[in-house]
Amino acid sequence: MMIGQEIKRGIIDENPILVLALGLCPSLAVSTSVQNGFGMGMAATFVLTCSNVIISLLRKVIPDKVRIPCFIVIIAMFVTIVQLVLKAYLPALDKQLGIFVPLIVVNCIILGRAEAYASRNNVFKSLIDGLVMGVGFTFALCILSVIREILGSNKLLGFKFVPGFQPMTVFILAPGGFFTIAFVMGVVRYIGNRKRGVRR
Amino acid sequence: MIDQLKMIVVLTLISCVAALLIAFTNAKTKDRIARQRVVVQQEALLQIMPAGVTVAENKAPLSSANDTLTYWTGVAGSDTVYAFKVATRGYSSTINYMICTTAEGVITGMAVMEQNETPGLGARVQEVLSKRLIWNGLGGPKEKTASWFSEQFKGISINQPIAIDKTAGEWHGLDEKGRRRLKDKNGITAITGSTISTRAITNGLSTRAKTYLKAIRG
Repeated sequence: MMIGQEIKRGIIDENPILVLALGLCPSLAVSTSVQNGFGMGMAATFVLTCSNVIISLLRKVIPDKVRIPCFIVIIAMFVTIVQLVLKAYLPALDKQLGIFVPLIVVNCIILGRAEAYASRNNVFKSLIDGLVMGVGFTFALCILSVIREILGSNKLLGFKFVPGFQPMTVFILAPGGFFTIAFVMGVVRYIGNRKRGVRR
Repeated sequence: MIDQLKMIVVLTLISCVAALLIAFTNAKTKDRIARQRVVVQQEALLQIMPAGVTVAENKAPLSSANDTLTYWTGVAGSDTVYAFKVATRGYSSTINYMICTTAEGVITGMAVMEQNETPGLGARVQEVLSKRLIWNGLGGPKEKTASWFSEQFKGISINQPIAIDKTAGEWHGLDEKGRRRLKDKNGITAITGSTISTRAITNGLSTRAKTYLKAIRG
């Protein structure tokens, strides 16, 4: 298994948001500023990696019929831990992410990877899969939030971006989120198709 | 039969281990979370109280229910100011804020502590305007400024009706003269496109805050 190839798979070929279109709800909600997007990405990556490892370890023990409840319990445990740690050590980020941290439990990226990958592969492979998928998620969130923060509030990382530019509030709101996701997805598809030599 | 038993045992075991780990994390972070809450409160108090006062926590009975109101007094010489929390329903959330007033009900400072209003609109009650551009701002020391929205409440009296000016533009864009004109009519400027969030705060000030101040003053 090539690490480089795996990273490329997570970020580009099978990017959870931009290619698989998973987890769009939290993406839409937290990509309003780069700090939020990055923080959410990191929290999700941690949960995804940990749950992938544990689920892969227990894959032979967990009976098939109760696998989904088992996965959910494991994922929910890590999410609760993340939430408590955020509250204790990064209260500002916790305040910003708010309800979306507990909602990582039902993020389809995490349950999806548990079901499709970690429950069928060994621990090391699952760990790498969790990491690269998490990085892909964070990467996509960062792209979306850079675009939305600049256009929607004329800021980047909380600093003013262009003097005298009237920001387009719609980009901070949900419709702007859809526009941005659609646009970035389109660009990724276009580049992918060109590479594969698909003609329109 | 064996299969069914296995299902139950495995799920129970996983849940128990998860509960244990969460309990452990909770025990480890509990104190720090409580301390963070106090820190937020202290910062807000520092922001809204006049400089150089001695702060003390107090409780006053509220007439409406068997409730008590926690408030803070700030004493400087013969003057006393009173700070307390107010919560009112905004557009999409409950806006929690803290104000500090003199005995006559003149606000010395206001700070929004918690809200979940529409990003880019109502959420701007907490907006801090940065004058620095990203190009020269990165890496430099962090600016410490209050939000412009709460800044404009300084000197407003809660015992008189508070006017909301929607025509003058936002407060941060006004010059000295415009700001003085607003003060004269006990007014503030609304956040463009978020009259409901703005009104939630002024309503809370002229109803709840007034009652609270009365309860404190006895």
